[in-house]
Amino acid sequence: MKAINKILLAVALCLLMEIVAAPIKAQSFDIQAFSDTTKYGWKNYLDRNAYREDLKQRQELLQIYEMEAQPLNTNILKSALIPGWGQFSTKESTKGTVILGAEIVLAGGAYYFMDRAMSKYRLYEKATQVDDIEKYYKDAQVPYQYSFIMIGFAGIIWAYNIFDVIQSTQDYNVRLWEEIIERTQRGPVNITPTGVEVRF
Amino acid sequence: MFTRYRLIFLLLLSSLLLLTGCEINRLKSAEDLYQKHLYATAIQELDDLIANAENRAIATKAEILRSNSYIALAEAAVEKKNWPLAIRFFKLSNSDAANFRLAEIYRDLAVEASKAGNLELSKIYLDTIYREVPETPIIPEVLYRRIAYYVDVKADNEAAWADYMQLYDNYPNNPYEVLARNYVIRFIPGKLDYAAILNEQGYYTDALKELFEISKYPVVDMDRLNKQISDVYERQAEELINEQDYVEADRLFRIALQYYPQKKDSITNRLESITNLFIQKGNSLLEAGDYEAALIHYRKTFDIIPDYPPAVEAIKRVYTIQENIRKAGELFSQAERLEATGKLNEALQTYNAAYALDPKPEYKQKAAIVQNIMEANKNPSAFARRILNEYRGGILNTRIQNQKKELLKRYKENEIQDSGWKLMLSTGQYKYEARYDLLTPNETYLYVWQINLRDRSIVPLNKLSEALMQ
Repeated sequence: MKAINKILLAVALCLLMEIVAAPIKAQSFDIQAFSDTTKYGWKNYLDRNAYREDLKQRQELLQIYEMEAQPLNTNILKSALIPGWGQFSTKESTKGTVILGAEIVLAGGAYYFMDRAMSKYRLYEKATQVDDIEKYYKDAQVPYQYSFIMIGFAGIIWAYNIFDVIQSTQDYNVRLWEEIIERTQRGPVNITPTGVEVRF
Repeated sequence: MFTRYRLIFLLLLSSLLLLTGCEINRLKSAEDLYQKHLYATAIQELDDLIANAENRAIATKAEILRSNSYIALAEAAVEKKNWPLAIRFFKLSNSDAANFRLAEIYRDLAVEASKAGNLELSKIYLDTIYREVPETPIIPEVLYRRIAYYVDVKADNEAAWADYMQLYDNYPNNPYEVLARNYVIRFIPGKLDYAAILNEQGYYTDALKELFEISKYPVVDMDRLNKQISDVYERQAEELINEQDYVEADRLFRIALQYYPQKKDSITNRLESITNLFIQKGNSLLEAGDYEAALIHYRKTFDIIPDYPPAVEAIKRVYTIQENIRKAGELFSQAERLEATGKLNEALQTYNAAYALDPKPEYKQKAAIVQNIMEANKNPSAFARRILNEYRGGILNTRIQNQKKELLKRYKENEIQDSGWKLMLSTGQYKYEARYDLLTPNETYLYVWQINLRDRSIVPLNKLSEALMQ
């Protein structure tokens, strides 16, 4: 067991070093290569102009993006408070419904079994006969264990919900940017598979 | 112990995942590096993020941050006067702000090169600014320096003028534009002289183009310029007078006067002389029967001299002629009706009256036909004989007699039979046939013509007669 612990500690230290040492490693570079003006594929000033114009356009679109994007921290907080809420915000309604439903069922079940266990436990406390004491204790133990199992599942789903809301928010924001780009690239009049679309 | 290490491990792992896996966190990490002035590291982080980010909005933010990082590095290079490195970093930054700074560096290098006497290198820097950073606020200065170079070094006035036009069109009254005038004023007289040469050689459009172009800029004596423009219009007007296009000439004289009012006396005199030319042109148009054009020319004189008496008389004359023509037309129609009803004497008088009002050949011809018909009605054969005798001064009689004389050389007089003129009715109204036969034992000459009494025409009916008429 000690050996395993040492290995885990070594891996953890390596990871920590990786995080801390990364900027130090980055500082050692070739200045000529680093300052090569063609390294981003801009062969001349025309290429640079084209890139600059493109970046300026995208920079303007960032304002729209900032207004419409879902903030990650807010969504994590939402899902932490009410599981599935963050998913609803990122338009993942089905996922949100399943998570919220599962949490309600599991929490309700846990409460139900706990309540049953506690009522049996109270009987156990009031019992005076040995047979009754043993019977009520046994009866209280089973729902008590069920209740804990359900709480455990609820905790796992809650944790998954937090993990999922991070993914959902990131995916939502990726899609949002693509949609904003597509929206601006389209003109006021477009030919779509369903006919001619005119935007005012 | 085991539980404690496992917990630390899990915490680190989750932190690492959050730090490296989440793009927004990677951007924040780069921002931290930027805040700590670790620009090169930030750029490397950002390059990686830009290349791999799934969320292109974050990539765009990273590109902006990378641009700012390059600017910071470039400014550090500027502080150390490492111009090549600063230029490269500004180029890599590739933002408007970086471009403006790049232009400033090029400008400073151009000034330094100029001071060192390397004017060609200085010009290369200026051209680079103009080509690569045309939106920089220092463009007026760049253009000014280029103008100075073109005038002082290359003596290329056209290039200097092109730059000055750019400068004034985009930055009027900018201090550098005002300074540039001193250079431009030096070669403007040459441009005016060139316009004068174009005018003298008849390239009026080119001359005006040149002059109007110069007139847009505050580098010329406007009095001289306006006089030259006026000269071009005046010269064009004189040319149009020679071509008898007086209306257009008048218009151009007036434009010339607008540009240079000091010419009022000379142009007014010239305009007055045009009035007479208008009348002359109107008269020739009247003779050609173009009454409307004639009236336009007569009336045009009123723009120069109101109620100009010769023009008033000429206009009256035109109206009278037009009235006579109208009346002649009516009389002609009336005469035709009289002719159709057989009142030939009255028809003849009416045709003659119409011809007196409007000497149209058609009217004269109709009168002659009616006259012929009247004579034909009186004594057709005598009229036909007269037509024969009068035809081309009696040529038919003369030639027949000549033919007879020829025959007399070969034959005795009693061998020649001369039928004399025989006249008889032909097919068709007012048509007679005239015959003349000369017969000998060996030769026969049979002449025959058809005479149209209506129009006095004679048509040969055989080749012999046709040959005699030629």
